[in-house]
Amino acid sequence: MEQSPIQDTVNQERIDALRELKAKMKQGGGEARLQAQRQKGKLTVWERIEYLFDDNTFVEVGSFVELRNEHFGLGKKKTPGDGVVTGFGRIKGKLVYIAAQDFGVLGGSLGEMHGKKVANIMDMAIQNKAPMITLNDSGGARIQEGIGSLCGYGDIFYRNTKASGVIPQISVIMGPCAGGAVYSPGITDFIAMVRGTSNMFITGPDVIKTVTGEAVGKDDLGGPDVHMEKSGVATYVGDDDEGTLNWVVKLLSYLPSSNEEHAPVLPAPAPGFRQDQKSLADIVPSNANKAYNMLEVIDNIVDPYSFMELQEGFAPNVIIGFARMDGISTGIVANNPKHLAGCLDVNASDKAARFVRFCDAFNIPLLTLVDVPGFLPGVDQEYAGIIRHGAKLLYAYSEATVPKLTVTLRKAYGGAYICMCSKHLGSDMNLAWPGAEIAVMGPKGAANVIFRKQIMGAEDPASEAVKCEQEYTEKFANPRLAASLGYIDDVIEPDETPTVIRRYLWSLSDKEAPRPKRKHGNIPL
Amino acid sequence: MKAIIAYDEADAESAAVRNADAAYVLKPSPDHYRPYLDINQIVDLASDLEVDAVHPGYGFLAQNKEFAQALKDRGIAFIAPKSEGIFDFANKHIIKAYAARAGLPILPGSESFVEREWLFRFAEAIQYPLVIKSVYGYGGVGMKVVHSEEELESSFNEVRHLCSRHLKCCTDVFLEKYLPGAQHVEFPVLRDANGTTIVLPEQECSVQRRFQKLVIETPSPRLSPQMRSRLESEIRVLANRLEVFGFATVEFLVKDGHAYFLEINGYIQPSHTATTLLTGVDLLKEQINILSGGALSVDPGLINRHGHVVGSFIYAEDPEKEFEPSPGNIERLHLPFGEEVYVQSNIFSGAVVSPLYDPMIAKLMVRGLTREEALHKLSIALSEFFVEGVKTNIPLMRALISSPEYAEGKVTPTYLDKPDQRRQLLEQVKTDEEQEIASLVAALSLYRDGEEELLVDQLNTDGSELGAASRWVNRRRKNV
Amino acid sequence: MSVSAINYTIRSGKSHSVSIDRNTDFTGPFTVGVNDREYRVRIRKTHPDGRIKSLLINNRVYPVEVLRHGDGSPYRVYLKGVPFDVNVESVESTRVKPETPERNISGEIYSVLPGQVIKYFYKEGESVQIGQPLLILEAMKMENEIVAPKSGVIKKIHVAEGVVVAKGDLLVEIEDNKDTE
Repeated sequence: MEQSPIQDTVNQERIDALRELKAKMKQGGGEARLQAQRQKGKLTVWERIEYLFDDNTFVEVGSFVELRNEHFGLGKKKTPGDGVVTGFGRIKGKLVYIAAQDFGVLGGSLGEMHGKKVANIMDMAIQNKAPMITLNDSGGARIQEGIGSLCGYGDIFYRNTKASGVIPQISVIMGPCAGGAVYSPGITDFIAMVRGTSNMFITGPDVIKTVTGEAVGKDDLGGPDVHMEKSGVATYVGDDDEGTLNWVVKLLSYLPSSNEEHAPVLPAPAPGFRQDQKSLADIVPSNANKAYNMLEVIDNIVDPYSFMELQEGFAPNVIIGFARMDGISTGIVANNPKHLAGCLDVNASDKAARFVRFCDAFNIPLLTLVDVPGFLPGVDQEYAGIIRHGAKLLYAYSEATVPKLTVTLRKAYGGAYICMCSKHLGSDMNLAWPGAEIAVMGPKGAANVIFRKQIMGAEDPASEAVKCEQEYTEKFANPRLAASLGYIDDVIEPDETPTVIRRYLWSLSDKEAPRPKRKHGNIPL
Repeated sequence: MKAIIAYDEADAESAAVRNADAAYVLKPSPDHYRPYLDINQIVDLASDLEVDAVHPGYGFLAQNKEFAQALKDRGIAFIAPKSEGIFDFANKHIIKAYAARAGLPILPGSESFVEREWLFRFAEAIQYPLVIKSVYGYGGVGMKVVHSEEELESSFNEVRHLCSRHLKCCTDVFLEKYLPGAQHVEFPVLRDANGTTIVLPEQECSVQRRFQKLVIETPSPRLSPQMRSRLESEIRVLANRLEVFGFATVEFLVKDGHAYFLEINGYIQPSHTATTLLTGVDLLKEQINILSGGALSVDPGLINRHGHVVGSFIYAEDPEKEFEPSPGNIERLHLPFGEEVYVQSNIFSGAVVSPLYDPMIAKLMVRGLTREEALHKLSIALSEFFVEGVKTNIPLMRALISSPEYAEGKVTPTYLDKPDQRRQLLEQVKTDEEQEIASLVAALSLYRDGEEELLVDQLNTDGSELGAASRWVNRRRKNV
Repeated sequence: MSVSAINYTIRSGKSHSVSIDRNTDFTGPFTVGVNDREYRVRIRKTHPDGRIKSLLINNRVYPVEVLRHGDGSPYRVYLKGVPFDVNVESVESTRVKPETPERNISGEIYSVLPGQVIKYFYKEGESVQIGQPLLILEAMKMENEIVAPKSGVIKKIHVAEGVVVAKGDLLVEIEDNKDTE
């Protein structure tokens, strides 16, 4: 239907002026700055927004907001929007809120009004129960605004916390993010970084050089790979802006819009989808000395090609990620015997515990695959506080009221056995494979303790020890004992695993497990 | 009339088995390559079922004397031309002699023999290229072209070996001159007990591979009307002399305006549908009619001889790999249809193409008022024929039928033998736009690889088919 | 909306320049530019692993199949069953690529677990690629594969097979391939 042209000329002029103004505002700090951004291999802020959101669904909020602390010549550099684009739109049909910093305006620096804009959009996200994404690309606090900028950050951090566990929060670091600014991403649930253009650190190389004398480059200090492999801060590192944004879109497909929704469900794939599928009994060898890649096991249990690993470069001895089971979004936690023999250590406990708590907050069921010989021994682990960190994982699983499904594939010894979502921590499904060894400790160690006198007194202690080990293995280090006591719900064939898990999951959709009322617990941090 | 089918397990899903009034499976027997050759089993079954007659279908035992005799002993009719005594159509060699005596031109050839000593002597007399033919061969089995003396002995052994395996009868062979580039033309003939003979318009097998038909046309564009009528009258004479009873086809080789008698086949072939399409005469019906003692139900004067039929045989094979059979599951299938477009096919979505038998999956025939019209229709029908799951010769047939060489009649039966020729044919058909699209597709698949995580695909659904997960539909929970 | 696009040069018959806009939606609709023409493309069907099965190009359906070499580059495209030989000549983003600083990966491999060195897969002087297994260390009663963190040449093996090591012991040193300089 054609609209008839406007007759009122004054209104028409106003409209024309508005159009011109808005087009100019979209240029942010000007074409030159946009080009500079592109030359660095980055997309501009509007390019990122247009890439991320479904066509014609984005609504900008607060495009005219300007700074008001005009000291130190800021008055002349006032720009509508104040260096951040906030608003909401649809991503694959889902409502999502966003705050995207514009590096072209005053270096993307955060001032009072910039901060207020972000706080405002976050309030909207919390109220309207939709995920919040931040695209960080900023030189940091706007020093000229003094305390005003700190205010800005404070407002944001406060809301990050208010929103934590209420709506999913995703930070994407697409440029510099330094100083206090890093705390906002630090509170959020997932942090993605772009290789080559982004970095995060509290104090930069210059200050470090002055104070401690250490010389280090920006990338080596807080580049994406550092945060993936060393600090465990990054969830994902993308090769470029588009790849990273694609990852964000994919991540959103596994998450509910808020904690009031069930985990999302997509149509389940048709059965019989795989060619040359190896048996799980071949992927996990019977010889407990041989390692295998747990990723292969996961791929063969979850819906095909649905596993999305998170933090893959950090603490590889435990695997976390999202997948789908019959289309239902599920959180996966699994030991990986390929690294550190699958032992739990400080980093792995942290990694897994945070993930478990996220899934619990957002009604995402948890599937835990266990093959853990124990906690990693070592003085440095002890000094680093494996006690505190291991306790985190215990706490997280115990606290979780989402459906918890556990399968023990091979080893499950000692404290680590309990930690990996055992029945005692409230798991709803606890299965074991026939080769599972569930015990206080491995046969060798245990036999030497229990049968000590027998071994010492024997003619050939070495072979007596081996015999005692075997006896121990037959009696204790197998799933029968645990099953006979009801701590294992069933011993199943490895290839039955995918089917049985799905049946349990189907039954647990309306699970309710009330907890005593309290403000919140005191998880060891 | 009721039809009972006896089949091999591998054909359990075929249309014939599904549509028969009753179906009985033949047990595999260790003595026989395939149960379809197990004469004893088949005859016993026929006898137990008290059938009136047995029709041998397209091959295997169609010309087998032992089979015919076994049936006769049990009093069961055998729907095949009577082959007693001298009128043994299956014996190519003897029939050739009869044809010669009836005045039909024949190709230079030798006596039939078994011993190797005669091989080289006869070959020398005939000269190369020549064909070694099994006396009882049919359907391309038991024939080998020999181009030079080096190949002679190995070809001889090969033919004899194949015969003993597939034909279950004597391994006599004879040699005959080979006419490269000649067209195969065959005239279907019906003759009843009263001596009424009908010679139907000829069929040309325009292109073959491995001596099996790929494309057929009726009538043949290569025969002039004079030649046609001359041959028809000669065939009539021969048919009467041989006292043909029932149905037979008389085959010729045609080259440079000359026709040479080749052989007579006494069994219905898949290609005969084309004749039915053109003339309206149901050959199978007439055959059974005659052999059960009746007369021809068709008035020879009312047979339609106008129009043109072109047909293509569709095989599940890979033309790029020398037509290697491509067995597998047919995942999806769309058969073409239209005005005077006929598809006879044994397959359906989900069917399994067995590696054990000939991978023919369909006969596609079209009829037009003129040859040009028929070719055009066939080309379109081929482009609409969609098979997913196995490789087929459809793209190649499409390229062939739409090529100018074919329309101009420049193709010979061995036209598709050379891989280069096939490739060139496919190249000819490619348009610039298609080349652009091919590069588009290549780029697109690289693009999808290059981008991370592909499964954002799954998100473009409205969630209406939730299946097993329906208890988990996105909905609000009570306050946590 | 070409925020960013990738330009491919593909030879099929002749060289074609194909430009695909980057998008978060992997089924399209894509607007693909081939030479001077624009094609509207939508992916109708894929195999479960993501390979394209059927496309809608300018409103015509094309069943397709793409054959690739081991390294992933396509060499043949089947359009409606007809094979087209293709060759990828170049791939370029329309955007500037950011400079990725060289990563300093140490070639010194230390043991992360106490255990026993069981077997080495390479000798001193041999070349090794990043990610290939260097040795097996038995620790925590399991065979642990230690892989090469970078490509290079085995400079020195510090611990022999059979020796028990503590955490932090230097096992192997890899040095950069001098030939590549």
